Amino acid sequence: MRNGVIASAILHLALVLLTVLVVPMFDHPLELEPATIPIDVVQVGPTASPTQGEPRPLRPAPPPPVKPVVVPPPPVPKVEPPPPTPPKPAPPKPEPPKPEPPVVEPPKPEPPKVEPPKPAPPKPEPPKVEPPKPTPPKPEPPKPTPPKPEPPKPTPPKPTPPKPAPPKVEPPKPTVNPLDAILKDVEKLKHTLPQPSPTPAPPHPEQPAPPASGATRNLANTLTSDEKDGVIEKVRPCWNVFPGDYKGMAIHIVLEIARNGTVTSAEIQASDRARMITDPLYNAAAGAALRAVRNPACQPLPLPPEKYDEWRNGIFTFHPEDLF
Amino acid sequence: MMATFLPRVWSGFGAVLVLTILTVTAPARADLNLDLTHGTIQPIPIAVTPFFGTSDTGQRLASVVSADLERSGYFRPVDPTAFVQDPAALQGVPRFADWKLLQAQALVTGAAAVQPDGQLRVEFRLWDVVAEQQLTGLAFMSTPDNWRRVAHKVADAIFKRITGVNGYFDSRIVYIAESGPALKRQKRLAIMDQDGERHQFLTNDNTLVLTPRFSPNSQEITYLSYYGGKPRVYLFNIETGRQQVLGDFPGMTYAPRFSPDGGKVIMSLSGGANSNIYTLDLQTRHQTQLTDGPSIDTSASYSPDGRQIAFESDRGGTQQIYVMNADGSGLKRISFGAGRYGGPVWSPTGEYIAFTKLAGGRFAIGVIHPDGSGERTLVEAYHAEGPTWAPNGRVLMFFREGSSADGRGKSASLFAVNLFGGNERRVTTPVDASDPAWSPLLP
Repeated sequence: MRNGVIASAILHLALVLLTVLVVPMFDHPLELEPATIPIDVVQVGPTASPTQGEPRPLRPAPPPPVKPVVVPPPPVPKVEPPPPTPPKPAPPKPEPPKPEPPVVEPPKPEPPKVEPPKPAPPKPEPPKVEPPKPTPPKPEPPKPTPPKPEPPKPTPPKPTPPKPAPPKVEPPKPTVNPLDAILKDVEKLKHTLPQPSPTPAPPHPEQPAPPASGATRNLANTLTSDEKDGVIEKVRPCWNVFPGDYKGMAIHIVLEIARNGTVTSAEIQASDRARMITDPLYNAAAGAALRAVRNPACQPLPLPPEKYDEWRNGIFTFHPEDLF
Repeated sequence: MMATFLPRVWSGFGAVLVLTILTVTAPARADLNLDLTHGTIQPIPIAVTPFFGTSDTGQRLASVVSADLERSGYFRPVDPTAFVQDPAALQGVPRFADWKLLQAQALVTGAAAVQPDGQLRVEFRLWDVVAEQQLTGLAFMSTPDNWRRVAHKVADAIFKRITGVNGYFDSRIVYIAESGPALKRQKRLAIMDQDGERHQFLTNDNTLVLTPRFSPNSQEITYLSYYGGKPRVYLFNIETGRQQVLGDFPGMTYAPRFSPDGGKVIMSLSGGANSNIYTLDLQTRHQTQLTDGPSIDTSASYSPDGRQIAFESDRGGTQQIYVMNADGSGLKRISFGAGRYGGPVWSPTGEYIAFTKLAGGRFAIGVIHPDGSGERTLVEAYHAEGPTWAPNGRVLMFFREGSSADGRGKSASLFAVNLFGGNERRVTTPVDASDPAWSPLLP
């Protein structure tokens, strides 16, 4: 009788919970995804071209006027055959050994690289075209950076010396002189301190790597100034700047970088995009900066894979004013 | 009520829990922040493909566009023999991978066709090969015989999109064409496109002409002519070929230049040993004297906003450049370097004044800010003078004079140089050339 009451109570309770928790879920109608997404396909043709720009005024005098209209991009064929990537005929620049196989790019038929990653692989400079005698080029600051006060590089493999386990203090024997006992303990301590153990407490294999965040971030994971300079030097040849009046202009590019150092995404910082429409000079400078970080000739960026969390995202700020 | 409240509480609790877990366990991601202050200044490799069409106009358009861009010094056209896609295939989206192989960073595609109404329609697209996207696309309509101007406009649009600065290719040059022996030199007015094409002489051989200057609408030229043996400022209408003397001045008038609105001509009037600067209203013919004193004031040039005037004067003892307000007030000397400064020309952007300098027996073409700062020399030569600005204020043209090829006389040629003293190139003319004047961009 009592069991039946308990069972009934449990069943009723379960029924009440079910009603409270589940039924309201059906109160809201299911949201359906839109069946179709409208896509504008713009034909390029004399009749379909939107005339965003006003035709230039007709002039009776020669030479006859030229009337511009804006031409939209051609429609992208729906089934675009993948561009036949022709075999690279003897690339002019031998790819530097990549520290790791590419993550994002399709695998390349390259022999597995086992060499250690070089921070700045020596690359043959691209054939430099004689620049059009720009402004007297600023004397480059001497690159061989004088001994920079580099932050002390904590050697990563060295585990923090295990704190000496508190010496097991043996229970004092009542028959031993207390002074002797202390001396013995000191002796024990001496014995254990210099060589805590022949195998110095290796980190637990399952122990997760210390989070690279905030105050707990390991200094060993931070990029050194040399490593940052290596990236700047890598990008520099591809940043082709036109002389202009760039007073105070700065172009911020938000990057996503694959572990192999290739740039997988590069966009102008969202807050600056409106300026690209209103300021032709900024638009051009932004284009030049984007070309610099997207250009395969200046990739992969020489960054240490073991510090990937430190550079997987980046913000590169280009200052064209400083060039002139 | 309760039935709806409880799930919300539960879901809220769950969300907080998940966020807490993520906050505690996920490592904060650091950003690689770098500041780049060094780049390169190299011509950008650009592939200008022939414009698709049935006639050879497409090929000729591409040639003019390519030459314009190359001449600017900011572009390096890719060798057309290496092109891997033909114009017909390029009417859609290009195969960017192919163009990357050619190291091209920009690609120009286009089409040209004569419409049923007889108009030439030229359209082009500029592609960013690295980003694989269209940067700009425009179409132009004009008469077929006007294809060169269309090509220049295409080049201007490309130049502006890539550099952020207006182009200067659809513009013209008027200059003094010189011929004949040194003792009987003939100087005629001649005009041509900025690339040297469509050249023609505007005046005959009988009258000596000097210092031509374009009106803001590029349809008129003011210049000095010795017609009848008396030097006077004249106005020449390019469309009609009509010439007229400007003003009824008692003395010699020279060094004319239009005001930015085209309503006035500013010039020098010589009286005795002095000369002063005057303006002449072209509508009312009203004359206004702006300078007065025992000095030679000449070569006046308006700032682009018309508020100020730069001119040369020897009032301080040597020939120097001065700036004053348009009404003659607020005089200020701006050149203080060694040597003599003359022929100031305000740039279309207003940020510089170009000048000719003579120091140590050599000439130089230089620029200086209107406040007298930032003086720099662009060109030094035995004899170089007469700078004139391209419409975008980034290129200057001037002339050099030296011994002729036969060594018996002198020869003068036009040269162009960029604002930074680079990319100096000779401008080809059919005869000797001096005193160039660059027109504004054509309408």
